[in-house]
Amino acid sequence: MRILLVDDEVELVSTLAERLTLRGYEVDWFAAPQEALEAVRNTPYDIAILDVKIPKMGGLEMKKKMERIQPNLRFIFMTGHGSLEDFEAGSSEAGAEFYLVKPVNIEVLMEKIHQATTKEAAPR
Amino acid sequence: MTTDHDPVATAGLQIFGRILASISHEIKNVLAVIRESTGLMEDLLAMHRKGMPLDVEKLATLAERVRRQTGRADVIVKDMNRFAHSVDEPMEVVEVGELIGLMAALGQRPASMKGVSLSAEAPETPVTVLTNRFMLELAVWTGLEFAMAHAGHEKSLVLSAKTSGPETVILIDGLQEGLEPADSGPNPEVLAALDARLGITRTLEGRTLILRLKHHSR
Repeated sequence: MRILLVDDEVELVSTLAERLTLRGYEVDWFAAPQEALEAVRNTPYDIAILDVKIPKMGGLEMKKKMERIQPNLRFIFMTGHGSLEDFEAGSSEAGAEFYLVKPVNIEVLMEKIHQATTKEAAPR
Repeated sequence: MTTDHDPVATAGLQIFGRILASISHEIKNVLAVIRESTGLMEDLLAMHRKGMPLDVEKLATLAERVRRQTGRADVIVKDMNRFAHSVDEPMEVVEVGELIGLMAALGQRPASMKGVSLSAEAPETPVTVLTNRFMLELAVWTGLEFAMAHAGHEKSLVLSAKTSGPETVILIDGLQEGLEPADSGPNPEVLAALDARLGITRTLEGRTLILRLKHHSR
């Protein structure tokens, strides 16, 4: 399974990518939204894990652009805020069960990845 | 501070909340980095227990990262503490260079979200003013929010302060060309009330937003 991971905190996104890699996933990580979009143009991914609030382009806007390129891409959102406003925005886009508050538990994240990429449960 | 029928107090609380929300996001990010770093350490140790060689250099790098991130959190919390104590005194002698430095530090995340770099230049000689610290912070913050929304093409804002005769002057440089004074905020009535309370004159000169106040402000 190939995962795209995007968060502007380089040390967070790179370490999370490494931990997912140790668990058997193929992970490409990016801290800049434009670079992530370029990757989506060139590489097929099964799932994108996006921070909700990224400088210059939020996660929700990024999702819309990525969906135009890869309509079957699944999404999980992460947020640092955990506010009701964020939750409503993120959950309406990704489905409440695919919206995680940082710091995320790796086992929970893996479960969400499994759920999101299971055809029957996949959010649209 | 009561907010009943006091639009400045209401705006002040709203800004206080926005700044605290931004700080909490920063702290969450630090915690997330620490959690993933320690999680990766645990992963490496678990692999070692199963017979894999232990990457000592990797562990050292992760430990150093955790140490650095705790230092980052310490700075964030110290800034938050300084900001929280801004409301302690109704009137005090404020060191303006220190105040704009704090505002620049607190503004890093919102500036970054807009793709803007924000810095503060310390004045060559101390600039002080007798005023309400929190109200002055509000005045600077409202200026910063405006400047972030109207940053020039370089996307770089610089805060500075100086003394000019009987006045203390705070400058935010790096705005777009051609802005009108009437553009200077989303809620001009509140800004006018805030500026009147502090005795501030707020003007746009070229690409610079300028706040002028008497050394003995209100």
